Amino acid sequence: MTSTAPAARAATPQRLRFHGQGGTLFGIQIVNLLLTIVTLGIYSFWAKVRVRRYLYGQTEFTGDRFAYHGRGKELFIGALKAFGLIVLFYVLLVIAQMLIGDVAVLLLYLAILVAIPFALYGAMRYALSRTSWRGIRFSFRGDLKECISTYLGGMLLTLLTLGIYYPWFRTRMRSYWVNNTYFGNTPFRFQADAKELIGGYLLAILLTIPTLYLVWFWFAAKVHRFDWAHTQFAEAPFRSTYTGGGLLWLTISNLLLVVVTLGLAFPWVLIRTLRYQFDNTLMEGQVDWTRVQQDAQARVGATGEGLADALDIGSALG
Amino acid sequence: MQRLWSGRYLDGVSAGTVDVEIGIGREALRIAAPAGVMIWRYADITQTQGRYAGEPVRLERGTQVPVDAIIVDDIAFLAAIHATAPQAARRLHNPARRRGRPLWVAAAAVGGILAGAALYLWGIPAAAEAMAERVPVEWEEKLGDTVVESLVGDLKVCEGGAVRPVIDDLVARLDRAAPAHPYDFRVTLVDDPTVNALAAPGGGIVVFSGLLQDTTRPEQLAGVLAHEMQHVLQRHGTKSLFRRMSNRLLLSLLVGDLGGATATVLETAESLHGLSYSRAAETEADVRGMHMMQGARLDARGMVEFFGVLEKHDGPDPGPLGYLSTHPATRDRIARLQGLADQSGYRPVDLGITPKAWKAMVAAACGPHD
Repeated sequence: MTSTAPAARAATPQRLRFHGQGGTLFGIQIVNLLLTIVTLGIYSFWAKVRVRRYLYGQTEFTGDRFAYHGRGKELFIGALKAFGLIVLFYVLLVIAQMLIGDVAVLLLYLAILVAIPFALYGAMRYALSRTSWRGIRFSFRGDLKECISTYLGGMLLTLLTLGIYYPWFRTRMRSYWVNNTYFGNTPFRFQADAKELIGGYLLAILLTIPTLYLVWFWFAAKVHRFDWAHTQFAEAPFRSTYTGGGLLWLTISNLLLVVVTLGLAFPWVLIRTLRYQFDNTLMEGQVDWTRVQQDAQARVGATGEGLADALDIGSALG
Repeated sequence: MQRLWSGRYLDGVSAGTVDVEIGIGREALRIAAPAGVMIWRYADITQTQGRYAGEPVRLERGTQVPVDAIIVDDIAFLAAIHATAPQAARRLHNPARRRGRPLWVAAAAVGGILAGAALYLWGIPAAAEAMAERVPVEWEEKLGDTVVESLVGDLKVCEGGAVRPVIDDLVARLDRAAPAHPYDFRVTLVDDPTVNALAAPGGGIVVFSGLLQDTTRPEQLAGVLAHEMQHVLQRHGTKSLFRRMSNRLLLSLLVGDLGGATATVLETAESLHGLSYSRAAETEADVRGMHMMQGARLDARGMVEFFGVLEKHDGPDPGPLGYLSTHPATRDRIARLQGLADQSGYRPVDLGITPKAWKAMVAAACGPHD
């Protein structure tokens, strides 16, 4: 499968298109807010599902929409389980402190360090398992041990090299996330050498103070372009058209919107952000979609997502 | 002949799509694909997309993966279904109902604000009060110890010398004037120029030497002690703790952040640093403290006098840590206390300490200073 038909190569790039409207999302979130208050917060899980259903349903790729299949009940149970895990951990910590004294604090840090990749892994598995396009589910099939060892190893090397290793660390994590992501029976592919990033990374560090941190917008755009330039699905490559200026303007204008409206513009901010992301990520080349087949996986619970929420860490792919 | 609607069929097996023509029947949809005709009964259909503007209609059949689905871009398809099969297809979204949405949103906004305000103003305080009343005293004491410990920090605690027996005597007199209660009052005197006094849950009271040295007679100290003892007796600290905890819990639940909620529950003791009470709690401590002064037959005017002393000493700006910053000496507060003190109508006990002797005692309370 190394040769691609000439017709496919010449085909126009296919974009994700986002159709969501700030006003509609605002309406959904206002009703969600009321129900959340009245139920003393319990409804927030169902509220999340409503928002996600809307956002996924408004995301189009070559004429068809994505769909979110999560349920409020499973998010609620996942959050309860994560809460239980954290309480259990604190109880164990208190016992450990009584037995071995303040060394227990070290255990705490170690546990949090392990919990982060564990939670990211769980959240990723859950999020992909509840996402579909054209009725075909996504899935994440990575190995948990590999996730934790890659994460902890990379973290350690980054610390030891005073941050120099960071481009390799994040590229290895990216490779782990993308190469284990499947759409139906077909995996995504990511192959890249972090050497490409090191120049920009060192430059960004050097220019941090002179540019008052603004240089990091350009580095973030570079990383996004790098990530997608090395990602493929069924031989079809992706391309990102992020620019530093674009990201900077998006951030500043969003910040202004939130401040001026005292936060009421949050739905519009979310939609502008998604629109920028989708407008600037495209797939080049054609995929024979009939070859992509459903490939049902074992059911995944939402504990990982709950834990990631509890630890206040975002999704793995950002 | 009925109109046929064009749509796409997803078989749930491959990511390819098949163009289909859909006819609307009374009990079912008739879906004509190149491979053959399918009949989907409305009872087996769930609608997963097409409730909002800009979304195509998506109808699914079955619940276990793989489910198959049909997609129709034209929203009029739904209206046509409702026109033909209003009963059988009643679970499907009716686009006609969208018109009422802005009204719902406006109602929800008003309702949300009202519900939030009601919860914040009445619900949480009532719940906090109910919870605080059920907390065992040992728990309050333990909590209070943590608070006192963190407040005192590295400051030097002083025994108090000749003032100590007077403090103990005043506390004992005031205590006897209070109705029966389970608390054991312990006054900690710290060597610090800050003019302040605080009460922690469970009976711990902290008096800064700065405040002690500002008093010109023991009855003024008795006034401060009576006020702080009432904070303990009325469980103001425990109530405010529960209240703040519930507020934070509610806030973090609102933004769907259970992690924050978890942290709130686990970090209770840490949020205790700022022990400031509501105005209602301060008034209650004033009035009940004054009654306690009178019950103990102490000179009730001492409680009012102290504000005068503070004003003279600190001027109008008490600074962020001063007694007046946590106990604002508003005009109506002083007037109320003055009114209560004037009604006393009894002969106060003579503590047998002259202002001059008191001044010497409080100056030496924490040992000699440079």
